Amino acid sequence: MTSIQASKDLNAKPARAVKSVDGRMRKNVVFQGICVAATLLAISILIVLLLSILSQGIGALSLDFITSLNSSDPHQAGIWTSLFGTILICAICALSAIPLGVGTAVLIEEFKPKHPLLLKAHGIVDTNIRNLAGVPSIVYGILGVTVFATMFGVFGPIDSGRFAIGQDWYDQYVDATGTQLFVPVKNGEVPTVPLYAGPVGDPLKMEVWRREKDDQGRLIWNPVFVDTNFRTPAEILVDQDEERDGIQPLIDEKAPLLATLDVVDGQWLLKLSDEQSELIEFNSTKAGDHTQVRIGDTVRYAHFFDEGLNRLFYSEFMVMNVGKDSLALYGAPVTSFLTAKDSDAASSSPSIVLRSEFQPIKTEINKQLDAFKTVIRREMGDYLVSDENRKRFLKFPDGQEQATVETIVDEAMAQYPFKPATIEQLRPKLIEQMMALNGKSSGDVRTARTEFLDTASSAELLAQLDGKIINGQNPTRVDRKAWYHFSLPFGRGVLAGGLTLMLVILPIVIVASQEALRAVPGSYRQGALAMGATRWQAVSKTALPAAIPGICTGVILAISRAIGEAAPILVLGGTGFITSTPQNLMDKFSAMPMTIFQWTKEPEAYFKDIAAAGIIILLMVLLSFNAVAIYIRHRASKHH
Amino acid sequence: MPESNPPADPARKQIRDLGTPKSDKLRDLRERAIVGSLIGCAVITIGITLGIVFILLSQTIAFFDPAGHLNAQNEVSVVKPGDFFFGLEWNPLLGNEKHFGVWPLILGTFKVALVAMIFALPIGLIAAIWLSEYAKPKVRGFIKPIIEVLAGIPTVVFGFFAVTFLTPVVLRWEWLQTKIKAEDGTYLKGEDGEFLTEPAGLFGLLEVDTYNALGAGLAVGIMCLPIVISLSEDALRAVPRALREGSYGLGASKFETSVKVVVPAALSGVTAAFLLAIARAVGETMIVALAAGASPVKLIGQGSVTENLGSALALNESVLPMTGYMVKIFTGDAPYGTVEYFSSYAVAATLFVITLGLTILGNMVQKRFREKYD
Repeated sequence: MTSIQASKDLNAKPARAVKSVDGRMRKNVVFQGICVAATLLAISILIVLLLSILSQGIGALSLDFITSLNSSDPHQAGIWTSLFGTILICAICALSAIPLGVGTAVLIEEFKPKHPLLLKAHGIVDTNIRNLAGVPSIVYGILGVTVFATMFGVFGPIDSGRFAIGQDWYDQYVDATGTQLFVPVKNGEVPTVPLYAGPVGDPLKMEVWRREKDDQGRLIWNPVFVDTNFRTPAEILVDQDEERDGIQPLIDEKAPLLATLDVVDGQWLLKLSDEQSELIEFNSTKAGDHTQVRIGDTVRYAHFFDEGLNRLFYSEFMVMNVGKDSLALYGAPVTSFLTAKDSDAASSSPSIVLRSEFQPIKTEINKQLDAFKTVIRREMGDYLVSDENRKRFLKFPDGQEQATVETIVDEAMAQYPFKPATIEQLRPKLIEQMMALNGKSSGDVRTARTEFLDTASSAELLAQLDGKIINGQNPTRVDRKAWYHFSLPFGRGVLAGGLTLMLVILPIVIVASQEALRAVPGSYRQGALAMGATRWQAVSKTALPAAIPGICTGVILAISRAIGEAAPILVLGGTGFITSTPQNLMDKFSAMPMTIFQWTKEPEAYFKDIAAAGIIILLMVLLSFNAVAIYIRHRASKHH
Repeated sequence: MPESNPPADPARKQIRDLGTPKSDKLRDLRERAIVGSLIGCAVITIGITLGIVFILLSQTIAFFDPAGHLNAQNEVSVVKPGDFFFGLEWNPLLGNEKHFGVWPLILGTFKVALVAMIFALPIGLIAAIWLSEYAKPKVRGFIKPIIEVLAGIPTVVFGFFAVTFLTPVVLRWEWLQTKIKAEDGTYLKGEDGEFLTEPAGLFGLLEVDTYNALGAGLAVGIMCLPIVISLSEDALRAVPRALREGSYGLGASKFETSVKVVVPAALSGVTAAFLLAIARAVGETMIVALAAGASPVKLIGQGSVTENLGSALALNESVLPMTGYMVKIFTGDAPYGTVEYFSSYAVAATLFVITLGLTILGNMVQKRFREKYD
């Protein structure tokens, strides 16, 4: 049509057409130039992408990186945890998706029903599978969570479902000699021997940072050790009588009351003051009614607002301990500032700010944590080397007492990579560390020091435990899982992850297999049928073998999609550093794209480098998969 | 095999090779069992489709439960369908007053998708025209695998690229630091006496946030590029040669033939490619979770209409798309069973309907075009 019209135009105005030949040719050349530029742009993007990743990641890449487990310290973190996880979930995914997908494709392509109604249904299924391939993978992730991880809640909560094999529960006590005592219990039972009674210990001394002037008269932050047990009712006040670096505080009246703390029925309640509601948040709650204070809560308030620069100076406290009539707040004035734009984001959802968008706070908390460690180190050092405990636990190598204590404390602290814990929470961990350390020096102690007790009767047990247990110790509920551990619901483990990925790639496998089967000439099947073969025989002996290379290519491409897919398993597995490889099908896992996502999100710069190194490994795995697919396709085309 | 005779002629031998059954009954039984298991596979596949719809629907209905759900602050919150589907404010994670209007999220998604499409569609189509009409087979054979490599890169890699390269280098110009000016025209100094600096911004003019719609959109566009190129190229190559030759015969140049004959003839295929690319961009998760940020678009509550419109359309600011919200919820921002948790299902259902609509439309358009030339 267009060409005919063009020719008509030519007839109508020949002069103009002839005149513009030059212009038309120029247009053609210009367009070709644009075309080449567009294609070159696409290719150069790929090159820039690969180069930027290579340059960032190559430094972090080493054999150690491949064989190390993941860690919250980027310099020690490796890809092995997630590489192993990827292999495991992709194996589960392939084992489930290939039979299902190829089977469905064979049915759709080779067994077309004759009944008109069924034929219609067949058509609907055929088109729907194509549409399924366009569903965002995160939707499959949500499906996976609901169907596999929680199973609609039919079998109870995830970690203690109604059905489990290969899982035993114990109450773990540590006795005075360091032996770990395990008392078998049923999950959900209260501890058979409630030993814990009496005071937790001394009220924890907290470190509070004070602003002081140094020798040169500059304002610095200095840690001061104070007893942070607030008496009822307490008031949190902001001191803003000082200037900071020449910036005039906007609010310069007397220190305003930000919040009050009251005890009602033994619960600590915090009420944010109304006037200052814009400037204080408690646990993501703004001004309003009383809110109960729990350990781990965060109180954040703004010091002052610097109008010229639209910056907000923040402080943050963490609630460390809630006693009957005392409240230990631990914190340091963060003194980081948010620009006005950031503070909008902050007020709408503080937890996000803390995690990703506002990195200085996290760094500050790490600083606080370091300060906190100092306190704990001192406290625990005193605790460990006190006369009674020294007798109980260990003989330190001569002259290495201090070093040993420090190692123990450091290792115990590493168990709490981000959130500071109370000393009571830490104590069992510290003892555990001590056991492990003791074990190292005197051979394989772990087996010798583990003892399983019978629950013949409470009284008997009490007698067994009596005199052994460290005073004030609460049993820890632990479980031991066998390698064949299996439970319903599946939970957020390897099996659920693999099956969720199966959902994602199933449509791809089906469509690829369908296309491969369609490409086999009909005469193959007709020949077999004419010789008296049944339909399945015709398919399995002629069409399927001929389609195998095509199916293989499709399947390999689908699995390489599964290897790189992050959204559905991220939704299923969640974030958090998984530092061990899965031990059974229900165990938590991480996969390479998940880990890369996590590392990229971390504020510390070196995490970006190891993320790039992880991407290099991931791309290498994918490239080798694709190479296999290309090889199979190439070989198949040679044969035909 | 007592009943079967030794094969005498080649045809019989072939049948034997196909596997002669012991008896017709056994053969029938085996046949039935196999077909039955195939049907089983298909039923599971269909079950998955129905399962998605069922779960999204039932959980969305649960979200709109008139009795309400406890929220993260242990208060009962009730969300009406009208508030969700027509609401203009989204802040479920904020303290006391929660708003569950989905439009800011939809707008966030389409902001990112718009940037992606402005980038990917023209470049993709032009590259496809070049590959199908201009490029020599040798060059094509070299370029095509490169495009395929681009298509095989996991999306999390593009997200990483957006965070570490596109946003800081291309958009924020962090390699060019400028001094911060105070109100009175002097430059600010830090504690150590050095001047405080900030990134220059795009072309030194536009200040771009660390997390923004532009960077995420560009990365999504790069991700969509191979889809647009290969699907459009397939459509263009499927146009019969006769059409091109007719055009050349009438004296048209290569440019005129490509743009006025081949592209219109392949329009349905190209449209399908575009729709599928948009569907991919809308459903993209990892890139936006890494690069787009976490602030829902603010449609109301900022004073004048122009200000609201300005913030609704701003591309240099942090934006929370639908997929980004789901990742936030499922990676632990809301406890299980709370109203915030259920809200992610309603968002997922909305996303599902949008992408499925686009995909179905794309496949329908593509099918029509296929019937035309096959």
